[in-house]
Amino acid sequence: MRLGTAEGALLDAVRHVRWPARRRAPHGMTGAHLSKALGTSAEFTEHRAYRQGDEPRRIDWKLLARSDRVAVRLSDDRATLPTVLLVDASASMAFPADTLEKWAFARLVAVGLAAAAHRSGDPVGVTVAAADGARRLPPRTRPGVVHDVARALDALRPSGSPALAPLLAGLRSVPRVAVITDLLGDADELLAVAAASRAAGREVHLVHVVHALEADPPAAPATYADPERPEDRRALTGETRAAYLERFAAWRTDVAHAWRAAGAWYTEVGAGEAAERAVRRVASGAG
Amino acid sequence: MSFAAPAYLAAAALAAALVVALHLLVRRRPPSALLPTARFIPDVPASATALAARPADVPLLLLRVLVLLLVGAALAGPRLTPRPRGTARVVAVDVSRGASRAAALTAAAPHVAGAAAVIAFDSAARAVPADSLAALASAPPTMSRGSLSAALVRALRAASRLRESADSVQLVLVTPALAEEADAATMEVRALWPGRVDLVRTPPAGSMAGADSVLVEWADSAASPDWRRRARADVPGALRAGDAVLVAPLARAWAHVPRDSSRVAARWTDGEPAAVERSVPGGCVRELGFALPTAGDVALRPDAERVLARLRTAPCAGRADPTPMSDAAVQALAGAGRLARASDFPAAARRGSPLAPWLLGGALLLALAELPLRRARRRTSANAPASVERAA
Repeated sequence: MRLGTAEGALLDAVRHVRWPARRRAPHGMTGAHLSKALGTSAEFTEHRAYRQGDEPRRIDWKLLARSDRVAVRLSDDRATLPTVLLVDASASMAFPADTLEKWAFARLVAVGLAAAAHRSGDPVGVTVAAADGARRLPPRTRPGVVHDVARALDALRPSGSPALAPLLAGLRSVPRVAVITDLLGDADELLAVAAASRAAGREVHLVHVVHALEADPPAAPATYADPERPEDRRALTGETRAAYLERFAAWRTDVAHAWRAAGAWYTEVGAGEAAERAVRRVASGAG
Repeated sequence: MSFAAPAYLAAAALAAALVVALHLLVRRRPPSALLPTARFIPDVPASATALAARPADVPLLLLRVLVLLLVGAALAGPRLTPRPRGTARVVAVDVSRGASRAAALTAAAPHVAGAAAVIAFDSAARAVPADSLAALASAPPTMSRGSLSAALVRALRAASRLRESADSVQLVLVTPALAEEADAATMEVRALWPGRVDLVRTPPAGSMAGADSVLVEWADSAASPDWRRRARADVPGALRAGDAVLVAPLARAWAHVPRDSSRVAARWTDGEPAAVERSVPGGCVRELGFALPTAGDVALRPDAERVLARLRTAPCAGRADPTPMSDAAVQALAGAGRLARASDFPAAARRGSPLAPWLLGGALLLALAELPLRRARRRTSANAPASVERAA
């Protein structure tokens, strides 16, 4: 399957974007990220006293000649950082209902991040929280994985109210997870799982998707309903609009603070922003 | 149909128009759409009042308009009146002491046939059924003086009642037109009749010629029902007949029963009648409510003779004056020109409209019908989501 025009343009725009690990990667396959384990690369880090069992070829003979100390040379190792993109496909992502711009934007960000991770040699996969069950693509490094991610996301239309927290909890073995969501579902549970993951040493990124119309609804009076709770209808008028803007902004500030306090990397995207810019901000950790 | 107070109907129409206007006001909810972040909108009711092109809830609107119009029509005093057409005739027949009754009834007969109202008058006027006028011929003669004023007032009232059923009103006045039948108000009242009066002059009563005969009756004879015996006789002390006075301890054993046809001929000192006179054909009868004592000399005294002479020989009062009205007065009474237009008479005072209770009852029933109608409408709107609600 060929990528769409938007995906193709995005990949072209982010072809130089790298997504470095924020912390040392767990020891594993050789990759682009500094590993927690010390290895035998050319980057000298430190000397360590020789212990029985160390390989003789790792002994620094020059140091022995100079100082009569027997020590081995240690250097940083580099490893890959398997990454999974956890994408929210609930009904609130299908906004506006006629264009699905919010979902399309989330898909583009996911594809862009997948490309950035893949370019660093990291295995990348995707888990989609869909109404009829999660769709999983395990992390891979093969060349067509980005296309696979795009195809997996393109096949879905957001609906229902799938929970993200259980899916995040199921990704406890993945060193890096990027959650792409609007946080209008099980936000509290998701934060709790994210905090636990961070405490366990994993890297958690939250990409908070906000559509421009959510941040600044039309001024004309209208009655709005939540697509995930259609019985709850609220009238947005001149009197209530100011309160809505204040409440929504305050909530976004609160969630950003909460996620950062939990140790995650929080980035709000959308609201008229280009997808490649959003990808760069997430990858760079600019927030 | 006519209305006594059409202003009520106009007010009802105005109120109905207001109700229609209120039904054009609708309270709309703003258009509905999806917004994932709707939970951040304050949950307050919001609606706006707007003018609709079509009235909301047409059955309820019609019900309310009908109720208002029925109430207004009921208060307006509707009457079903026949279409006015033709000439209505009012016949006033003089049956007073000055008119020859037989001649009057004969002269009135051709006019009474087909008349809308027949009035018989002497000192007072009264409406009589046309078919009962002939029965007046056998009624006892009256000694009451005729009153043209009373006849004309009665005729005016009859014409007011006929104004909605006729184009014009003809007044036929059957009377000898004696001078004594006109009073100071007659021409004033005549001026209220807006047209000519067809005057049919009849000969005066024949018994008006010759000398009066006086018949004296004593109340002691109990021949007259005009006197009743007192429970206890008293002694007023004196009585007076004209300028003759008798001071004597005469016993007052009889009390006079007042009658319209009798006149007081003598009075006791306390004002009670001591003798009364009533007219009869050919003269009058004087009834004395006292008796002269058989003992003593009261009967022989000159003052007693004078009183008795007066009571015995004085001319009878209430005798009709045969002098006819002057030609000018007759001409003024008859008038000239066209008949009176019915619309020129004031509308008769309406006592009540027979239709009003029915109209009010209908309005009440419709008002009660509004309750189940609104309940049904409420059930319908609860079952189906509505974005427009009636403001009223």
